Amino acid sequence: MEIELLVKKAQAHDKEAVLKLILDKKSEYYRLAYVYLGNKEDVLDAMEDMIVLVYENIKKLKNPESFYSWSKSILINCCKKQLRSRKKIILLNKMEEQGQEDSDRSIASIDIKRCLQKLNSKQREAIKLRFFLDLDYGTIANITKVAEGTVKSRIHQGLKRLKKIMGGEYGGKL
Amino acid sequence: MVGNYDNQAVEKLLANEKERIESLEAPEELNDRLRKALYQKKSKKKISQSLIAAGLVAFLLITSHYNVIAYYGKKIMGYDVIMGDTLQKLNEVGRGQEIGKSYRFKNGVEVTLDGIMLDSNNLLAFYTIRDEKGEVEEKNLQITLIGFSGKRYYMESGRGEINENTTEVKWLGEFQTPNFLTKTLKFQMTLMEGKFREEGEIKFPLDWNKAMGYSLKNKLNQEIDISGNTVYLKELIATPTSTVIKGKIDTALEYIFNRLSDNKLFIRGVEMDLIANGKKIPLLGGSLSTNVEGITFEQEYDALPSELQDLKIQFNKLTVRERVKSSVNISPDIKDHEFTINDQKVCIKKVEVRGTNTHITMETEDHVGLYKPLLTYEGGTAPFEKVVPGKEIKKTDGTIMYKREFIFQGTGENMKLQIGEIIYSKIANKAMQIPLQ
Repeated sequence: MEIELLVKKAQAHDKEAVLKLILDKKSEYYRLAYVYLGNKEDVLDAMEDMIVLVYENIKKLKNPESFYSWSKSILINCCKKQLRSRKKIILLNKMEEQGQEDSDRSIASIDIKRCLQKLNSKQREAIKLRFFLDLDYGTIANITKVAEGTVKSRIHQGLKRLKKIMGGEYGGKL
Repeated sequence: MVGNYDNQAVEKLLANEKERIESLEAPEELNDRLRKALYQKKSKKKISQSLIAAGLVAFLLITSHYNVIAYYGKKIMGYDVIMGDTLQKLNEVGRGQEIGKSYRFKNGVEVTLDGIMLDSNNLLAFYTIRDEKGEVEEKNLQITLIGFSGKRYYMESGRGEINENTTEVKWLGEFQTPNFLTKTLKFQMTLMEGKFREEGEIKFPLDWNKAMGYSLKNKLNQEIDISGNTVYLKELIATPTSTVIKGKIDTALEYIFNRLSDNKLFIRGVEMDLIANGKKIPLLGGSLSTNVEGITFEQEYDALPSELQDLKIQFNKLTVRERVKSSVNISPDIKDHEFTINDQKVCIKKVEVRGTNTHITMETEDHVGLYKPLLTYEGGTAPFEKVVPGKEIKKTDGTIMYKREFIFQGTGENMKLQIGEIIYSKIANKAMQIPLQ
C-alpha cells in the first residue's frame, strides 16, 4: 500500500518519494549492483545513474506494485553500461610481477570470480543472481527480461561449465 | 583430470561468495550521493528537446559521410560486448579496417580475423575462434604478428567473450603498433590442444589510411616523490582508442642501489587516476617491467573526451614489495602482541595449537600482505600450510584492518615466526596538472 502511494507521489514529480522508495531497500540495490560491478565506487556511480532514470521514467510505470523489479532492471542496465565502458582488459604477458603470488587474502572468493569470468556473460549473470543474491528463477527472469526457461537453462549450463572449468584448473582438488 | 570437481565444492565456493555479498551494507555516503544526483539533475525543458533534435540532425549529416563508407562492410561486426563504448563509437563510424579472412585447422577449428583498428598506441585485432564440437574453451591459440623484415609483435593483452553453447569465442587482442614501413602483416597462429599442435597464418594488408593518429602527445618529463621513491612521468599519448601514460620509477642508479641493499625492494605497481574535465577516465590496463634501466610503467586509459578543458594525473599509491629480516617469538599465550615489519604495524591477535598444527591470527592494515612465512621451533620447522582469509573491519578513523589466520603443520618449544616478504602501499595523494598545448 505504502509503495503504491509513494509511486503515485513520485509520478507527480516528488523527488523525496523517489528517494524514500530507493533508500528503503538500499542494501538490496547495493548488493545487486555489487554483484555486477564488484567495487563500491562503481556501484555508487551506477546507483546515481539509476535514481535519475527512475525519476525521469516513473510516469511510464503502469503497475506501482512492480516498482522494485522495474527499478532493479534499470539498475542492471546502468551496471551493464558501466561494464561496457570499463572494458576490463585481462593482461597476459605484461604483468609478470604479479602472477605468482598475488595476495594472501580472499583466496576462495578470487578463485570463484576467476572461474566465473570464463563463462558466457549471460550465464554468469544468471548464476550470480541465483547464488549470490538468492533470487528465484521468476525474479531473475523478470529483472533481466528473459523467459524463466532461459534463466533455468543458463544456470544449468553455466554450472556445468563452471564445474568443468574448476576441474580443469584445480585438478579436482580444493 | 578435467571434470571431477564435485558439485559440493562448487556450491561451497558459491556459498562463500554469497556470504560475502550478504555481509555488504550500503555505505553511509549513498544517501547523500543519491540525493545530490537527483536534485542536481537538470529538469528537461521543451527547448532543450528541440535542441537535441537539431543536434541529432547535424550529427546524422556529419556521420552519414562515414556511413556510406561503413555501409559496405567496413564495420567490424559482432564485437559489441567486448568493444566498450569508445571502440564501439569508432567502429560505428567505420574507423576499423575490415579483414574477414579465415584459416581452418586440421582438427576443424576455424579462426577468422574479422578486422583491426590501428592508431599510435595500439593495433587491436578482432578475431573469432570457432569449434563446432563445442569445446572452444579447451583450445589454446597463440597469436604473433609478423611485420616488415620479420619483426614480431606479441599480443600484450586480450579479452574474449564465449557464446552460450561454447562453439565460438570472440577475441580482442592488443598489440604494439607496427613500424610505419609495414605494408602487410602476418597473423601467425599456433593452435594447441593436448598433444595437438598446428601453425597457421593469415596475411593481410595494413591500411595506413585507416590508422588514427594521436590527438594529444605531451612530453611530460616531470617527477614526483612518493615517500622516498621518485616517479618520473615521461609522456602522455592520447589517441581515439586510448590514452597511454609512460613513465619510470627510480633512476637506474637508485634501482641498482635498492637491489644491492638488504631490503631488496621491488615496485609492484603505481596507482593513479587520469582526470579529464573533473571526471575519472576508466583505466583499461597497465604494465610494469623491470630491466637494467630501472622500472618502467605504462598505464592505459580510455580515450579522452573530445572537448578537453582540464587534464590532470592524480597519484594514489605506490605498492612495494620488500624483504624482511626480523622474526618474532611465538607462544600460545600471546594475545594482541604488536610489532612492526618495515614500518608496517602487525598485530598477533592469538596463537592456538590445534592437534599438531599451529594457528596464528594476524591483523594488519588492509593494504598489507604478508608472504613467505616460516615457523621454526627448537629442533625443527613447521611447514606453512595455508592462509584462511578473514574479514575487513573498518575502524572509526576510517582505516580498514584485515585479519587472517596462518596455519602451520607442526608445533614445538620456543617458536619463532619469520615473515619473508611484505607488500604494502605508500599512499601518495599528489596531483599533477597536464598542459594541454
